[in-house]
Amino acid sequence: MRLSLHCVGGFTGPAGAENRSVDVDSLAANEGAHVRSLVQALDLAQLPATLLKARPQPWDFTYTLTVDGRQVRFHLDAAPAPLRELVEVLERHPPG
Amino acid sequence: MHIHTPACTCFIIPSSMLRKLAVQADDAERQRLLEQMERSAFLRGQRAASGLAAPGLQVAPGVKHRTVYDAHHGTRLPGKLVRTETAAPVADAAVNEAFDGAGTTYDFYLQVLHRNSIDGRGMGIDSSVHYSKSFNNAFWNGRQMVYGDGDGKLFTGFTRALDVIAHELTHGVTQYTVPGGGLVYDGQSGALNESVSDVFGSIVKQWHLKQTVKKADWLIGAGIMTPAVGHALRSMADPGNTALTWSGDDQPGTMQGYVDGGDVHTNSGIPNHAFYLAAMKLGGHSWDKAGPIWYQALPLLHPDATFAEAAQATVKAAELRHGVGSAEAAAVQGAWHEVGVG
Repeated sequence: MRLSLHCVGGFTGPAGAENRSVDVDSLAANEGAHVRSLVQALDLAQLPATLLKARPQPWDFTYTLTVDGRQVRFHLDAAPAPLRELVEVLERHPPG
Repeated sequence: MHIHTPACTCFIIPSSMLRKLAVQADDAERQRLLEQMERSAFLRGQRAASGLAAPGLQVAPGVKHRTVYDAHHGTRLPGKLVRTETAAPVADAAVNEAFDGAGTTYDFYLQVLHRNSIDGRGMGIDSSVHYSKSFNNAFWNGRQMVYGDGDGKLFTGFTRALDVIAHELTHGVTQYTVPGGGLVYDGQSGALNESVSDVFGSIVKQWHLKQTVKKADWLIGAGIMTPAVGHALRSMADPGNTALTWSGDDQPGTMQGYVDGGDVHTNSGIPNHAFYLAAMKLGGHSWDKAGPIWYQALPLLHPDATFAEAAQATVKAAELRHGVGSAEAAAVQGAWHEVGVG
């Protein structure tokens, strides 16, 4: 399972967008299990394609998470807890 | 010094009526009505943003309260306190640059636009430097400034560029000045939000360098990219000209190039160019006429304002400042017309 996270906003916008990609199979056993449980809790198949705030402000960065081809575009404040936690886990990995 | 202000603010004369009266009045009366309207609009903006402000507290104009923190490459804010208002410069250049840039921006707003800090009430300006690892960004988080160091491949840091600092702090000004809590950061209102920050980011830089509109480079973010990537992030004089900026610059300068559903940093090229054209038509220094007109238009906007409404607001602000049928109002109208708005 591969997870990719794209994040855009701030002064630089698309020019400074951060991309992270993680192969869950390559993670340490504990972290991999944690990520899998979060993905399962998230149930991407049932999630709307966008979870955006109705009235975003300049500090609302826009994220796109891709898991095995399925995508959700969201603001953190509009995301369910497992999605926010996934972002937290993925942001521990360096962008590249 | 802290002074208390009334918790409730009510207005007897609606702003629309004040605007009508001002347009019909002579110069002295127009100025008086204008000041009343500005005050009313400012207080409305404050009311909308009151959840983010320290309730009931106001700091006297000219009293800066800057603090800089070091996030130590983490993402917890604000981080460790490393410089306060009365402290001497420290060894870390990013700390001093964030401190000095906040001070210059504060001075510009106070001396040129008679605004007491970001919220108009003397709000302290907090900044955190060294945010996250290789973070290619800087942002205003609704309460404070946050600066990354860049990854050294695309960006080399953000604190050394005064226009970046003024741009981000101006997001706070917009938040507190546009009635309703700021411009919604999506679509045309989002592009306007970005543009207002670019406009005042550029003006603050020009003011600091004492440049005329003809001498200014009108670049946004010059010097924050590695030379291999480009010279600057955006150009207000010629949006989308990659020879002036960088290879990924996709900004349109007119409505012909407007991108439906485009990023706010893309379509902001259109109002950016309108401001540049207006400033060039008005001549002199951008902070003499063009800047105050754009600033005065902010309280005339609403959170979902379109480009057309921004054009109307800036023309109205020019009429209020300089009179109906004035050369200044015609210059502003002409600038928007040239970019295909209005």
